[in-house]
Amino acid sequence: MDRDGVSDERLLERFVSGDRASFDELVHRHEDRIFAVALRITGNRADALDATQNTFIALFRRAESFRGDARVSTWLHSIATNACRDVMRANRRAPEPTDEITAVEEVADVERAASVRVDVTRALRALQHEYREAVVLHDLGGVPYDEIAALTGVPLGTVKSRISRGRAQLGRLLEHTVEATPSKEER
Amino acid sequence: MNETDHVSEALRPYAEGGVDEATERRVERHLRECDECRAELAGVRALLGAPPEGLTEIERARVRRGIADATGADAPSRRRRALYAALGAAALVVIVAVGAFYTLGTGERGGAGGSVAVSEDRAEEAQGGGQPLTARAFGGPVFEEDAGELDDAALRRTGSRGPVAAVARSVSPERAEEVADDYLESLVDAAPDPVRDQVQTCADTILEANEDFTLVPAYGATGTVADRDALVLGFAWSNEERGSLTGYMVYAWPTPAGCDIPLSYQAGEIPRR
Repeated sequence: MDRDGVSDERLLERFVSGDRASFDELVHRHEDRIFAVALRITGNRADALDATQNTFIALFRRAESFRGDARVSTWLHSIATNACRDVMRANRRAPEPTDEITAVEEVADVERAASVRVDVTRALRALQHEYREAVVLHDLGGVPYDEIAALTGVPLGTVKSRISRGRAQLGRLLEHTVEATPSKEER
Repeated sequence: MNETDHVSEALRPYAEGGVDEATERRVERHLRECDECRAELAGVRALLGAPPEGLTEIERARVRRGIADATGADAPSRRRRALYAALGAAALVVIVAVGAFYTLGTGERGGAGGSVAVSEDRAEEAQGGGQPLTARAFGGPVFEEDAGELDDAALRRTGSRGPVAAVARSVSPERAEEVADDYLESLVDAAPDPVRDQVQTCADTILEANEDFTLVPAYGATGTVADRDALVLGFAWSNEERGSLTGYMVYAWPTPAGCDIPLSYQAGEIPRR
């Protein structure tokens, strides 16, 4: 059965009606993005791997409860957000902001492009969990504000301010490590 | 300050170049006056501009295996059958018959039943027939850095022109025996945890099977062959007739399955300079 070009929602339906391969296709499509989001939220690969795995296991077990009022990708992000929280709680690896800010400064003079992602990961760890989660879900995961509000259970206004503050903190932390990109009005 | 004056919600599409001209002008006008939104934009750009953090192939396999275990599917073995099917359909299960290499390599162990070897002249077809072979280098005397993704042709080049060739040229025949152990040790040290033991085991297997020859471990890598996790090791080799190290052998074994049956085996001459 050809699964290319089939929507996520259709794949989920097929899976619910018994087509295991459609589930595998969903895993293949989304595993990298879910992992990227989980890595940004948890701040380390081991937790992110566990969270990614648990996300898809939860998808498998809860597929029938998908209501269809959101996109599958949004739903996956919401499962992933909770999976990250669970994994971090279980491993007691709450980020320690003060240490991580020091870490950002330590790598400030590293110029290589590869260091940028390390810096972003570290800088993200310096943010409060709620800020980091909202910023990562929106900017990296592409989840709209209102859907983040729904999946994290906080008012829309709170989501907006978390995203704004989280981004601004991130921008300031990284000011001296990321090369300034010329903005459009300067051309 | 009035929150609605800020352009927060437009910053992500703006940073991605996906806003109309009116919005673009509004955002830029605001950015000139607002430190807060400029800092926000820096944050958005840092996130969007950072290289994507995907799963490595080993991690991908681990995640998929974990999912398969918890959901009652036997994903890895299905993928393996798919690999053989793909290779078979393309008539690519070529037991290498490049003289000495065959004896040196998989012949004695794998035999005709199991060894999958893609000869050099068929390797181009292999790319069309199956999945491209990718690998990520983790170490070796001349391969200290992560080399990124290598496609099938690049993997062969690691033998004929890349790290194996470099090792072959840098090591005199007299010193070959003596450095072989050091090089293997450095390879094992550089290997990622999940494959470290396998590096040692596979290298030992090959060295033992070819003890009449001089083999120098040159580099190691992890990657995939047609969706199957693989450990790649490259060796330079010589025999008494040849004297200097003029041959390469590059093996890809499935991880973590062991060192008996390679997924792929490439061998050839290192061109003289």
